[in-house]
Amino acid sequence: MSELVAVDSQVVEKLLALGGPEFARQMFDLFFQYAPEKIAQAHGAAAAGDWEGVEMAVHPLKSSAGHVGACRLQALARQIEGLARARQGETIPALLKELDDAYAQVKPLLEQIRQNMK
Amino acid sequence: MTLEPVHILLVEDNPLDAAVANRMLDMLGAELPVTPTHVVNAEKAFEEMARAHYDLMLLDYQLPGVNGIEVLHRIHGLPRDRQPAVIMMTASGSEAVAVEAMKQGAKDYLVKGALDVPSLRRAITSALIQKQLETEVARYNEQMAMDLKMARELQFALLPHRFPVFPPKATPERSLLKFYPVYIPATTLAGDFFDVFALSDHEAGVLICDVMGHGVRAALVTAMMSVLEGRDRAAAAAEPGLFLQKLNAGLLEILQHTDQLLLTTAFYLVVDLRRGELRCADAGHPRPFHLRGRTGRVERIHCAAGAVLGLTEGTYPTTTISVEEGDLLVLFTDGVFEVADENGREYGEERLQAALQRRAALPPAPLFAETLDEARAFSATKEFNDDVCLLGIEIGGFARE
Repeated sequence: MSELVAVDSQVVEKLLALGGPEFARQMFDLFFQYAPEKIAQAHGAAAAGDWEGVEMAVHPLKSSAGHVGACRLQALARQIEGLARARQGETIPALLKELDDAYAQVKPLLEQIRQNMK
Repeated sequence: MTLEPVHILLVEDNPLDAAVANRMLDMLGAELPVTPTHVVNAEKAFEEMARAHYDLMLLDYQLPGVNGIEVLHRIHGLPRDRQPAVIMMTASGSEAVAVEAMKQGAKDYLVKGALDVPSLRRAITSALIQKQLETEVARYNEQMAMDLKMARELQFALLPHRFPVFPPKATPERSLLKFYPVYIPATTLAGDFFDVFALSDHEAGVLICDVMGHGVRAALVTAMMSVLEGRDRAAAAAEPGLFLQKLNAGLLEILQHTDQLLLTTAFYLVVDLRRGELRCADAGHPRPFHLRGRTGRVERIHCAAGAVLGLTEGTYPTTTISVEEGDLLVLFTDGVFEVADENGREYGEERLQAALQRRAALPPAPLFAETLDEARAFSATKEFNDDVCLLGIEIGGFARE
């Protein structure tokens, strides 16, 4: 996953084109609020061995990350969703750890982009 | 011109997906004005639909605790005028899900990651047109069903519901002639027709006919036949050949105004209780069976045949056959025996004759019920494919001079 850029600037451009900076900032704010909720839900479900719960948590995270251009986060969510759907839980805890790292990495980048939006 | 806004219910639990969809709905412009309402789960969606009318639903496939197919099924349970057109919103890579949604009644699907304003506009416009067409077709079908129901009731009204008794003052139970009709239309409207009437205190006229095909066209011709036989009855009904000739002439006169070939087979007979005979004429119709009470044998009535009605002018010979007390005459249309088994073999007239023969000792009602059951059981579909008309005439005795 590390070869993926953390933020796809083209996606951010598209967001700006769709609704302007106010709309894009609103989308980023929603993401900062929503993504941690879903990541926490995925952790909780994984700890309980509830793979369907993991799938339900990372599925919306996947599309949300896509909306703000968080490519690595989106790819990890997709991978975890596939494993959870196939009920192959062995590697999911490790991937969730990677997901935490990816979010921690992308959040300040997105905050910076948000701040610089005109 | 001001367009009425389209009331759209957006059902989406992901706030980012919802924000993007709402933004795109805002951008559809004056050519497609919309009034969107956003809810986050299926329960809220149904509450909202109970409260207000929605033209269209943008439905996220993956909602908390329920998937889009289940929501579609619930929508189908609503009254038709409360059902919105549904566009399913799926994640990328969910094309199989989208196809299933379309099979279950979604008008379209959109992949959320690839959503843009033109494709959203196109999908909404197309879904609304589809929905409108479906509503119009459903309304038309309802009207058609009502018309057909009324036509069927009228057609049944043309069939005899009371039968003449002989002698005229006898009770139905003590009548010298008793009639046993079975009438099963293949569709709402049938092409089979029969009538029974008294020609005198000792003569009964019995007409059975089968118009080619079934449905509205055939039913119209049976109605014509009913009118024609009523018109020609007084002048010719005592003479079967002449009666069929007049029916044919009347039918040809009407049909010359159409470019349709509408053929009708018919068999007409007169039972004369004084002479102990029946006089009959045939216009290409399956020949009836004669179950002789004295011997218990089932025989074909050998009657000289003329051309089917509605084809060309012609004459129809009258044949006279003696009958005895205890005889049963069985008139029928080809729907009774034109059923095929799994191998395409037809039940046929020989099997029908044999079925009647095996049950010859039974009274007419169970005789017919069991025979029809046998033909139906022979059929690959376990149903008759065509209209079925079967009429028994039981001769209980003869009239004195």
